[in-house]
Amino acid sequence: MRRIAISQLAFPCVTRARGEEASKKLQDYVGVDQIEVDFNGVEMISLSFLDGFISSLMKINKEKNVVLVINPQIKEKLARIAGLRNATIYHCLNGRAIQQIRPRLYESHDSVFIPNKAALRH
Amino acid sequence: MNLDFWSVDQLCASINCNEDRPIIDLSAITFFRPFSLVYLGMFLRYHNYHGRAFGIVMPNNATARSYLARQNFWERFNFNPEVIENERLIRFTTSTSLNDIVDIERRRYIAEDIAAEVSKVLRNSHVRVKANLVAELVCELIDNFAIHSEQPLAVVAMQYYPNLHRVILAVGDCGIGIRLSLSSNPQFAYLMASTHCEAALIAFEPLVSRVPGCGTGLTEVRDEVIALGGRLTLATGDGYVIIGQDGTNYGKMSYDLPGVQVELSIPEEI
Repeated sequence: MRRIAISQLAFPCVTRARGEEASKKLQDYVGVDQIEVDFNGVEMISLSFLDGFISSLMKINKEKNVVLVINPQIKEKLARIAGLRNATIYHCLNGRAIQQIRPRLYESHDSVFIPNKAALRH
Repeated sequence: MNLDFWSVDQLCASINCNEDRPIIDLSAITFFRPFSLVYLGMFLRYHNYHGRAFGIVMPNNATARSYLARQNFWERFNFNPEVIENERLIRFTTSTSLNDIVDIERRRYIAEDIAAEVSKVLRNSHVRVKANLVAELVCELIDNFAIHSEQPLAVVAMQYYPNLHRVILAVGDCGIGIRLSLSSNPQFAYLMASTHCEAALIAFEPLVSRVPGCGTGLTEVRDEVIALGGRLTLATGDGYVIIGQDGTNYGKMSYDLPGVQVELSIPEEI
């Protein structure tokens, strides 16, 4: 399986536009076999970047051809994206076997209307 | 008296904009919190953009006065943002400055540029927060400005409170605001009949955006701020949302200022 560093596809990895850019570049590689994208060694990888990357791959049904080589912080973000997008995301964490990310479902937040914000001050 | 989220909208609402040269009275102000700097700056920029100039009663407090002078506060916000040249934009003056106001011009990669700077400043200043994560959150807010505001300039302010073990960052613009932005997506057109604060609440829900298929940024900012033990304060139009450890509260501001102004208050890891 071929492995490519995420920084070869896009850098820095912090906006949706960069994630979509990385996905487009990856499309030159994806299709014949699975490919590993290595996210290690990049300090900042935002959820928007990952969502842009994954959702762009989903549009062309290629997300299952990609294995993401990641660290635990990124795994949590991918779990949220898997939950939001109902996406199948494969990952490899710390050299372990390839697994599917378990989706984390969105938690709704209750809110309270406070007409006069001064009431909140203390 | 501190000028902060709790008081800056009342100050703006008290200014009589029907006068030839309305007066902004800051004489009693002794300290400016980041949200108030951004909010007042956007108030000035918005009205200046529409041809209105203000008379200023400066703070009696010398420290507060010199702080505004050091930040070039009046020069910064007393111009037409359409005509400013990039060279005049004011960035961090040093790599360790945590008390600067920073102008943000709308361009494609502005969010990632500022995120890198914020991360560098936090680390160089040995602020005990997850610098990269905080920078990611600022990046999301600036990217929202760049994509949605339809205005050429925004501003970022940062302050570090070593005794309170807290860093506060604020980002603001005087663009079209959340309600108008979201309602340009037919799916959320109904929000034009809602209040600003109701539209702002919806904006924190996942996959809510003017751009179909997008809309993870504010959700991410909210979730991470809560996880960090911090507080998020957002104003748009005459609405506000405060999200913190006590839950989410929303309501009306005393003044209806176009655009979006956000403050993140992040505690240090002790």
